[in-house]
Amino acid sequence: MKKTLTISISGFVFHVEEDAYEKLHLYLEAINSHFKGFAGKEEVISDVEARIAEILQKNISESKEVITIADIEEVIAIMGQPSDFGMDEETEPGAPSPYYSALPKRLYRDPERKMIGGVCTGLGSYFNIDPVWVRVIFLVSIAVSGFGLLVYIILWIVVPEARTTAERLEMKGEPVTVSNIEKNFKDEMHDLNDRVKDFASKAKSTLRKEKDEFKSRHGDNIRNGLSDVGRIFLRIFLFFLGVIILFMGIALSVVYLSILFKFPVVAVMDHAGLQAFPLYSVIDRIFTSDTDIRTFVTGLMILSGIPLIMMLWGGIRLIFNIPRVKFLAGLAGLAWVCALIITLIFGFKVANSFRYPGEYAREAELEIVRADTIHIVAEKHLPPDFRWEKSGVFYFPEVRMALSNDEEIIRGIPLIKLRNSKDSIARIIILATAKGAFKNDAIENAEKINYNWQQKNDTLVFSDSFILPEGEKWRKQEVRVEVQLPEGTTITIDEHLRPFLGYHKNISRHEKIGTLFMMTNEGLVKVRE
Amino acid sequence: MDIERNNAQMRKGALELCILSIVSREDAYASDIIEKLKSARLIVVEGTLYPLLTRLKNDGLLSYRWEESTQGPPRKYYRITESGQKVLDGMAQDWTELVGSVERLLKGKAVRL
Repeated sequence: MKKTLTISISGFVFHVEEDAYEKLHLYLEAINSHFKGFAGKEEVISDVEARIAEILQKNISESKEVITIADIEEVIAIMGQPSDFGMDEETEPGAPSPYYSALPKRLYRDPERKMIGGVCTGLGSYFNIDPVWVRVIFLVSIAVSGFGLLVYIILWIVVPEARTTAERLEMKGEPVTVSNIEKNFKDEMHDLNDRVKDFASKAKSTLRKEKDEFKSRHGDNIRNGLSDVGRIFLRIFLFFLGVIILFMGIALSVVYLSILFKFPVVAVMDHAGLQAFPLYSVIDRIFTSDTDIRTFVTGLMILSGIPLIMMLWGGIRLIFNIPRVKFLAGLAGLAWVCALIITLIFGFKVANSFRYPGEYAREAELEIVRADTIHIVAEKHLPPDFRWEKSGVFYFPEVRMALSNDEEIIRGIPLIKLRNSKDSIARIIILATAKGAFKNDAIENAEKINYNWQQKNDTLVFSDSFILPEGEKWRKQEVRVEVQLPEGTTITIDEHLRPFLGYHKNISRHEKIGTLFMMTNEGLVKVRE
Repeated sequence: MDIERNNAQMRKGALELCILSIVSREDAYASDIIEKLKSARLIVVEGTLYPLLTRLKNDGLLSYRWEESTQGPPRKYYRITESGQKVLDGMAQDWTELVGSVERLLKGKAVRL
């Protein structure tokens, strides 16, 4: 029993045994490449195919329906080898006919031995190793970092399946090994040597006979010979380039995936060093609507994902010498530009909502008995060990705004200043500022800021943070507290409040507890430590 | 050293002449031409013929028409064109002259040997 394939030649259907098909396919391929560059190639081939159909038609009858390898051999005997087809004044005598040369090896997916997509068996065939090992490598790489999965999927998409017999032969072809590359190289060098010698002798006779025709012809040969050697060097170079690019792509992908799925972190440099805060929380609190957020994040993912995928694909292509996929680069570029436009549009949209500044001030007079010492203390809302510099917190020192991961509200640091009152009246001015797309927006945003303070007899209690109402977006909200005190007022300052004090000439960050200050016409001065 | 190649080129020139001459007598299908060339021992396999026919056709020396066949695909029947006929006449004349001179020369050489 033998498997047969149904083929059509010149509009006639034949049932052909598998081995016969392979032989016929190779034969036609060889003829095809023999006539490469000949203007009437298509016509000659269709003539030849018509004749083959005719010969085969003669060989089948009711008692013999299937074309066997003997029939194909008969066809080849009648038609002759490609080298007999003439037109070969361009080819050197003794040049190997493509019919006899080994098939070039190509990477295919193997549908017959596949478990998932046939990628591993295909790679196994390509490197001539047991596919089990390829599977092991893939599984290990997936378990370790997950990038193997990405590589697998890319290969699954871009590597063609070996559907026809010829493709299966190509898949199995001569294994690509280092010794093979070396052998090819030696062959090429040998060939080149011959060509140079040939050229030299031909050149001499050419000089004698002064035949220009010879000169140009063998000049071409020299160029071909050189380019053959160059090609091998180029192939080796491209292979290693591919390996480097692939590894870089893999490394970057791991970073990228971890940013997207595992530890969404954005880093910012400030005076305390590298700060990290979660990407999504930040985006959440800056963008106006969920749709905006989704669109922006998608745009961002495509924007950074496409170059990575193209990098992986480029590396794989160089390593396995896969021909370029039509339109792939174009499509990727187009998608990338679209993503760029999307992110830019939404970026501008966000930037626009920071366009106008607005402020909202509250003022209150304090009842103070002149002899009293005012105690300024902090009302603590933040955890006792909370430090703004801690990682996991979105912190811009210059904008004095923080967003902690566990709290869903945004807390900002107030800036507190102590000044002498020009008119001897003690008062507190709370100045809230914010940004907005319009002036009114900005003022509205400033109004919404929630900052608590209170007076208990001679104690002024300032909250250590201001709060934005739930759902409120970050619009560079800031709170400045100005405490105006009459000259001669003595003051103590709670140590918890120190970090929030603005610059005062005579107060250092590390002031001792219980230090007594006095308000003078030149601001605060230390009275007693 | 290049005897084989010279032979092939000589044969190729002669082949074109022979094909034109065969087709000029009556319209012919590739296999008919092959049969005649084979019996004249000018070619061995059919493959040789197809590129030559295509080239002669592309040069405008031959034209063809399709004819249905009881066996297999329709066949191309080649016919000589007017310019083909002229070329054939010229070539035939040249050939006769060439053969005459070459034979005279070869004979002379043989005599001298």
